[in-house]
Amino acid sequence: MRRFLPLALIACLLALPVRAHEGHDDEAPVASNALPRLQAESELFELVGVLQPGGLMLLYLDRWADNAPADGAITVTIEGQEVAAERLGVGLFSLRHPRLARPGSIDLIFSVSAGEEMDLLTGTLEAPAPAEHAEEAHGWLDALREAPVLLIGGLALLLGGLALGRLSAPRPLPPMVEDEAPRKAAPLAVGLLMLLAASPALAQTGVAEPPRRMEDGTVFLPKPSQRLLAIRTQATATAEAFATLQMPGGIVPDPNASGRVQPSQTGRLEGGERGLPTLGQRVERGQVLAYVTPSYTAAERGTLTQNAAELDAQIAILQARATRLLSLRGSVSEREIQEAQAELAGARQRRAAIQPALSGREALVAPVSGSVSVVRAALGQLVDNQMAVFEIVDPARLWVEALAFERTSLDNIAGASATLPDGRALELEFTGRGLARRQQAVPLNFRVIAPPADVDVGSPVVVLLRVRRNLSGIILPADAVVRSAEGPPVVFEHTSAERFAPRPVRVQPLDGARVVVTEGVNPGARIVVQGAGLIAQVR
Amino acid sequence: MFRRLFLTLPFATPALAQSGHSHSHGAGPNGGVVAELGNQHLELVLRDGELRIYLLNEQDQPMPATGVAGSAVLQSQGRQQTLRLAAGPGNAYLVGQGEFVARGTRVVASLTLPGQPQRSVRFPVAP
Repeated sequence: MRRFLPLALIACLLALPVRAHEGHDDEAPVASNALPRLQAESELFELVGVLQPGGLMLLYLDRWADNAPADGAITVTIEGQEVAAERLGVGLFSLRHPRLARPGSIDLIFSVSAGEEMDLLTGTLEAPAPAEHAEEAHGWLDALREAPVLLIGGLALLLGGLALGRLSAPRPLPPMVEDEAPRKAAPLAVGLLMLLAASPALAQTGVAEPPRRMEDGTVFLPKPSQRLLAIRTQATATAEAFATLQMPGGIVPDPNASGRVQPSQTGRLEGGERGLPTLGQRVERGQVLAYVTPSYTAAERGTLTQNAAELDAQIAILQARATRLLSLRGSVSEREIQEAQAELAGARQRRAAIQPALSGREALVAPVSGSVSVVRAALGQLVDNQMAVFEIVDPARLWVEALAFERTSLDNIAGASATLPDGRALELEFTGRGLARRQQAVPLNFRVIAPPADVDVGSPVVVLLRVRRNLSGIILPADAVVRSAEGPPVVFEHTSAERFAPRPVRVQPLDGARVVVTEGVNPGARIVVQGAGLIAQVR
Repeated sequence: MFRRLFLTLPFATPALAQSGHSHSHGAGPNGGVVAELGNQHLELVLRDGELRIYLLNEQDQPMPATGVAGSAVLQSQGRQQTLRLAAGPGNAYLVGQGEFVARGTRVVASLTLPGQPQRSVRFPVAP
């Protein structure tokens, strides 16, 4: 344990300068660890320069309107000298100049060229003065110099302590009892860590600055974080839109492109040529899906068999008579021969007519082309004429049925769309409305224009009806509006390069994917349209 | 590393607090575009081949260009050039000559006002 004494003393000495700085926390409690930076913007570009420790400046170049990184080249004029910034990646440049390491206010002129576009920007960098650093270092050194007695006394105490510790150290024990290795490894690791921390190479790769919420509610989001979260904005403009009306609804099949397959009589089910159809199978109109063999009671079957036997006997008699008359042609009248032949043909027709009832079966035919959506069939199953054995829906022709609870403005419908439970939007075409009320509401029918392949009949949807009543506002993607912690919906305005201000807004849905902001945002503001939810998470 | 971070704190605060000066001025008294430098206004009048900068005070009243030195960087038709600015007749304005067309030219001027350090100012592009 006593061996730790000199080590502890050295650690205390090393920690001294660090501790001396902790008092500064009180001076700047808001900006916890932001680096000195400059901002420059024009109608085309937005540029942020972050001065890293060590005099290297990282430049982030983005498009002004949509915040997308802009690739190109930057030449910087520093005190009349032109310096080309080194390109590190898309929209990321590094600038090295000895002037940047010196303190003071400095104006930089940036000549930006990105593709066809060129621009000039200017910004002011307030480089930090290291004066305080020197002052601080002088502070405790001076104090020691002013009191040499203290210094000498302290050193003497330290040496005395070291000598005491050395003298009173226990003799080394055999290695079995006390292992030396970890003790030596610990100071080594501490030294390595300190070297790493002090290494300027590490500092130059960019100091991470966390995004945070400022006291005024705005969000400080450094450019690297904006790139990471792919924040995109949109310069807003006032536009006219139709007012909308929301209604609950559901997907129903088009009555002219869907059908049920029902047998006309009770019978036993048999498979078609390729067996019973399966769910989702594509069938064509007129295709035989299954057969139903009629089933009779014993009495019915007896009557049928009796009729057949009688007819068979009659046919045999008529056949013999016709043959006999035919062989006597010339001696009997031609009329008699024809009558006998007609009677024979009639009897055969009657026999043929009752044949299906005896052994025939009814074919179940698809009434429309489409996909099999319901199968209620098993081989050998007894079905009756009330039962829909199969249901067929054409997935390319679907309708939406919605219930309108307010009759107002149903007469001037401009268009409609529907939102599926997963958020996708369907464009609808109004087909008609019922005159009979159902559940105190008016049923409305819409045709789905180009329905997606995986939409199910019966899915609930929210129908947005656009009525011919104009609404003036700013049209934004629905993703731009997020719910704030306080409750009301907000959008985030990109007020300056790295600041985002929440703006409470009044919104109305426009269709599944867009909303109209009628209050709360001024035209020309840059509003976050991608990643707004992520900005809202910043605390 | 931490020491440097702590040291930057007091200076980082004003840098963060400053927000882009984005409010647009109307046309200046001489028909040019107006930009702001400190508490002064500058008006840029561009003609083909000639650039004039008028110094105005906060109320857009003309001020003499005495003792003002500076230069202007121009970007015109994909070409960049630097013009030296000199006081015009009667110190009414600063003037620089070069080969450029006025339309769509972007201008950044670096000016040293009497008793002030050199500052750069960007003029909005005239429509």
